[in-house]
Amino acid sequence: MTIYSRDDERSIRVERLVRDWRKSGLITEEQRDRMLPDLKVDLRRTNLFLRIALFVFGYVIVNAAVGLIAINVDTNGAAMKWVTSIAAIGSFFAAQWIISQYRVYRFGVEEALAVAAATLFMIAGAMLFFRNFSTLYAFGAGAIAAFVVFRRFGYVYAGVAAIALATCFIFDLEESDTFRRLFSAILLLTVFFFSRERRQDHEWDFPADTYAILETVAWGGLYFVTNLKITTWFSLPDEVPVFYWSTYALIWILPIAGLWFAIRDRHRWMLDLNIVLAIVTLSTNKPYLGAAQKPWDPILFGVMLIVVSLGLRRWIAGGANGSRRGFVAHRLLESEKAKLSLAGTATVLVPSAPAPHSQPSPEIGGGGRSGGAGASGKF
Amino acid sequence: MTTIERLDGWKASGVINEEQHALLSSYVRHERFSIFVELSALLYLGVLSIIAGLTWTFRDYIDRLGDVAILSILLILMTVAFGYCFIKTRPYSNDEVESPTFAFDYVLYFACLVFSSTLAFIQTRFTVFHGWDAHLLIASLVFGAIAYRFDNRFVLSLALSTLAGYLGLRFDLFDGLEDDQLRIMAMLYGAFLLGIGWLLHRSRIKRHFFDVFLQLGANAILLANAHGTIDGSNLYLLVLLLLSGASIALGLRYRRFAFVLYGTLYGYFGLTVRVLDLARSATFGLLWLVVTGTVVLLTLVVVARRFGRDEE
Repeated sequence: MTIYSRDDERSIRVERLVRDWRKSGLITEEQRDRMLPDLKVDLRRTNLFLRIALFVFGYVIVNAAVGLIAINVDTNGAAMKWVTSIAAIGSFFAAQWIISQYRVYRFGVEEALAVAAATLFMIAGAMLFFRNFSTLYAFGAGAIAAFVVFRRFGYVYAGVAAIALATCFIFDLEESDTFRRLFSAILLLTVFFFSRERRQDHEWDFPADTYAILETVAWGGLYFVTNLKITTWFSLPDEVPVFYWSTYALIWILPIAGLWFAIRDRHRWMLDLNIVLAIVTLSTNKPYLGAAQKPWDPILFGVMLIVVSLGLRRWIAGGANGSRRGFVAHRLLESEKAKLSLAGTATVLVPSAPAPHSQPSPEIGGGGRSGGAGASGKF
Repeated sequence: MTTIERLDGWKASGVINEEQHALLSSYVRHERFSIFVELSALLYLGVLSIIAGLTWTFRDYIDRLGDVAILSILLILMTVAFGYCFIKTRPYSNDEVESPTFAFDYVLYFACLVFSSTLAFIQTRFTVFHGWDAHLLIASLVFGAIAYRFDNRFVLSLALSTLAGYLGLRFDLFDGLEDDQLRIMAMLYGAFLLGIGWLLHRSRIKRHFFDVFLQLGANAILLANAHGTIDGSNLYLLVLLLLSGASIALGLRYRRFAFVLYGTLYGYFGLTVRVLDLARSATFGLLWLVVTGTVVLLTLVVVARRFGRDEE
């Protein structure tokens, strides 16, 4: 069903690996030059920045064109649903046509058309059976459209959107919060196990990498609907004590189980997600128990993170060849260094250390301006 | 064909040797799995959390602890952290220098954050500096020097964001540059970053930092002009279009496509905002987006086909 062949997808990914291996000094320049011709595909690609620009303009044009038609053929808004429906179908086939005609891959333009098709279908779905805009139908139509785009074009973000919109669809049902959370949990668990199964079929080759992301998103979504303290803005929990304490147990179980899955499968996405989930669980533990947070909690938390990090590193490095069951604490590839460099640069946008937020601000104190490492605030 | 089958083929044809095949296969199969990035992230979060906790604790217990105790704790932490860095550091080099230990970069970051907190405390309690501005300027200069001495990108980012704070700037796409004075300040800030970045690059001093200066400087200038354009100034629009053009041209020339993206988006955004502001008609506005958007899109397609390859 996917428009690109599996061999092409795999060749593109191996090409990236080969370049990373070269940068990491694992192969020589001559070896790289002998490998790359084997990985040549007849697909036209571009770099990330031009892809973003092409996507933005492509998306704006499609939506502006639909808007232009809608406001000119339909002055009272009745034909909007038909215009968006036709435009959605048109955009979808236009994306396919561009790919087959010009052999483009992640080029931006075809992605804009495919994503526009999904969003237009979402709008059409919301208006097709109702006079007014129905968010329930919008989420439902959006989830279906995003899934179709994911299956046809392989855009992993469309798969992620499909999961998110399906969850929103359930949360838009006129049911109790407990029912919606349980229903969402069943859906997300189903997605998780299905994606996991598909990933394991392919041993880290395409499409395993794509399903690994969906598996992780479903797991993250499961935690999100389970943790009542971080989702009050999304859906106000019912006062059901059994459910409340069950979710408390689950917010501890999920990161632990997730880390176990991640370590067993060497699953990077799951590992990273479950580290974050464990941190969120530790941060929401006291609010769950109704206990007041103390000013020194972040210090203890920070010390714990540092001890865990240094302790793990020391333990792993102490193994044979600096490794424990294949896990190493040093860099293997140049791409890992690039990630940290990017993170270092991105911290310019982090205004300061996170401010304590769980209790009212003290009398003396204040925010602060950009930078200053938190020092632009007041004691 | 799977990646392992590819590696088998390259081994069979003599492209890679037995040793390389074994190593690369172990990477592909995730048999060797690095958690370096994750451990580094935990250290970073740990440092931030401790600083947040210290600030919160001192703020809440300032009366009970007293100035001397707080200042002593901060000074001890700072001395120990900086002491560790000066003892462990490698000799200075204009080129990139690897950290001597795994925790080194984060100890340095911690030391800088404590230094900043100490300055803030001294200023708040004893008002020894001439207002907050002097304190931020001092912090920024010290961070800048430390970033170059110890080759630390985190501290460099801290220096640049603190300098922005000194100038009263906030990195916010939609807010924060609401008057001319701030916009001019943002432009001066951006120009300063571009200038100093270029100068250091030319002098072959830590050339790997050049991109940080370029990205931040270009965005500060373009963002300031974009904000001015939203407020209806034609002068800002003119400057924005000229700078966007320059950003695109230089981005293409030096194959730094991020700047092509910045130039295109900021320039088109500025022009569109002004045109739509003058036209005030939905039909014209949508037609404008369709027609001009198509022109830009086609131009970008030509550029992408000519220059932009996946690997760049």
